[in-house]
Amino acid sequence: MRRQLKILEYTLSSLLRRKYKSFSLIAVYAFTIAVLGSVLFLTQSLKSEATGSLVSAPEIVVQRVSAGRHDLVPIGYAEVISKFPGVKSVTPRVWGYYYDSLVKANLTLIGIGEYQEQLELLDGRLPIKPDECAIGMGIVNVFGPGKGDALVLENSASTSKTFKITGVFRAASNLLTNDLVVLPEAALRQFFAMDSTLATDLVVEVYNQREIKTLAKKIKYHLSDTRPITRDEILHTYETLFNWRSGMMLAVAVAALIAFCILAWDKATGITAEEKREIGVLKALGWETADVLTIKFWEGLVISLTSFLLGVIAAWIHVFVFSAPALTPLLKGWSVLFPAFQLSPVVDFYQLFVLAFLTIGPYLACTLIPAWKTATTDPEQVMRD
Amino acid sequence: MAMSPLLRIEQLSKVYNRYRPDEMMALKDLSFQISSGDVVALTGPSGSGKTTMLSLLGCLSRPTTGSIHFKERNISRLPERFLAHIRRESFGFVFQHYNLLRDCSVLENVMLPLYPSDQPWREIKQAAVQLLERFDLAGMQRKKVKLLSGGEQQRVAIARALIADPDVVIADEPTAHLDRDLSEDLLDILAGLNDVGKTIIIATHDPLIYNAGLIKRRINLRHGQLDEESAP
Repeated sequence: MRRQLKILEYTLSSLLRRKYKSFSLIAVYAFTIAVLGSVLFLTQSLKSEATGSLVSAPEIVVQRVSAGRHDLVPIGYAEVISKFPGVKSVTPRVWGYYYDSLVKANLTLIGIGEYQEQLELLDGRLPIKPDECAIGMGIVNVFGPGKGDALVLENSASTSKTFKITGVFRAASNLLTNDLVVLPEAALRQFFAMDSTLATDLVVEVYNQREIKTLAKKIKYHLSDTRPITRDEILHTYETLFNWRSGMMLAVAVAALIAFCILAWDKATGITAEEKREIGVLKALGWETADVLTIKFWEGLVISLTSFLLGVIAAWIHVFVFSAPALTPLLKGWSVLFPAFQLSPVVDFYQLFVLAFLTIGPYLACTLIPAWKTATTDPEQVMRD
Repeated sequence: MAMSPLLRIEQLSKVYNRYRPDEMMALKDLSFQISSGDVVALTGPSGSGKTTMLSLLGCLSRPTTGSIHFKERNISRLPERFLAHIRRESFGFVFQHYNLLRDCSVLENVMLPLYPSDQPWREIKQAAVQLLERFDLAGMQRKKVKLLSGGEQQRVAIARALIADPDVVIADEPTAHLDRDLSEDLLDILAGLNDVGKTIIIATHDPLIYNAGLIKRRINLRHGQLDEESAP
């Protein structure tokens, strides 16, 4: 133990002696980890946001499709579907998109009537009167108003409507509530000039979860112009989307990893004349090959662990403090680009372990192999070279 | 009963780059003995094999053929880890170019041989500080070696060679980079070491050393072979 501590002390002083080389190696190494870590953190967080939000999402959403596009669905369809055995309830939902050209933000306007999403309010209450609304945090950040202030929206007839903000949503399900404006259903219908016999879609609840697929098929069979979407399908779409995007990003990031491996290999195999001489001197003074390898092991471990931790911290700050400005456009996609939302910190330790294994392992090997080659040569030969 | 020699060399040969076009025989069939307390000068012209001989005696390399017996034990075929132990415990080496770690402090350089030992840190440091005081380097503990003069560097190298209290001190051309005054100081130091029972082996072609009263035996090499052995 005492011997190991002395060798570790020598290692640290040796790293400090070569501080420029050590720091530049740590910088490159940490940067690579930060890039890879950012992709992993962001993907994981987005997937977690999506799946977390969808836990409370409707079991089946029924849309109407006309000419291959999403169209408004007649409320009468709700009555037809509600008669299918196994259906617990059918609720028409009224919602739409709103683009604010001034701040270039996409908002989702949703009406609450009989149906209320499980929306948790950070502050205030849901709207009751026709001139009231509740908004997501993203809108607060973009427009600046808060509870008690007014939100002005312009309808398709270019008439401005003023809504009093009665509540702000919590950030827990940011991905869904971030750009949300909730209005009373009648107010929303009036705003979008929507017929009272139509809804945007229908939300279907079932008694038995195992019947979801069968019921979706039955709805499609009886109402052929509809498109029933199950919760699993939405979840799957999100996962595929983020996995595909993160895969693309990781493919790019792997190039960084390979570049790093080349650098590590070059650094390690290209053991400098000074380092060779140092090994020769240590051996000549009575250090065993194992002692020299222990130094190199500690050196490699100190550099790789420090870099890994710095890289992971940098990735964390990049993703969860600054919302991943370098990666967001690539991973989130256009629809949720703006207003920006804060990512909730989620870490997949298995992925981090794999990342550590794939970077620390090769680096240690690259450090130890050439040192071993030098340390097993006669000290006289090493010093003579 | 005759005292057994400290070092016994038998038919020692060393070939570099064996079986290659640039194969070179550095030493050939050398046999001699060194007793405890001896002060031996290995002399001979450049390329005669002095440094190779010191490397073999100090376990820095292995002979191609023949054997070296240290305290009657054949050390020429010992596994590397035992050789490392012998190098650390029994031989103190002062290299021609000192071979100090130039970016390390004076204190670190002197303590270096005992880092892998089980001796406590405080004891090693204490011994190093005492040696530095003995060689007038007390105020330079924290100074980096690269900032020292040639004479100071050599004294650091000697202090490092003595930190493990070895039986044998081996010095390769120790006066090669020193002026006359510093060379005489060095002879005084070596004489002092011999007085406390250290065996000293010096490779040199400096007459100041091999003509000094300190030298008890002189072994002259020529073309890797024993040319003559004499006791001045």
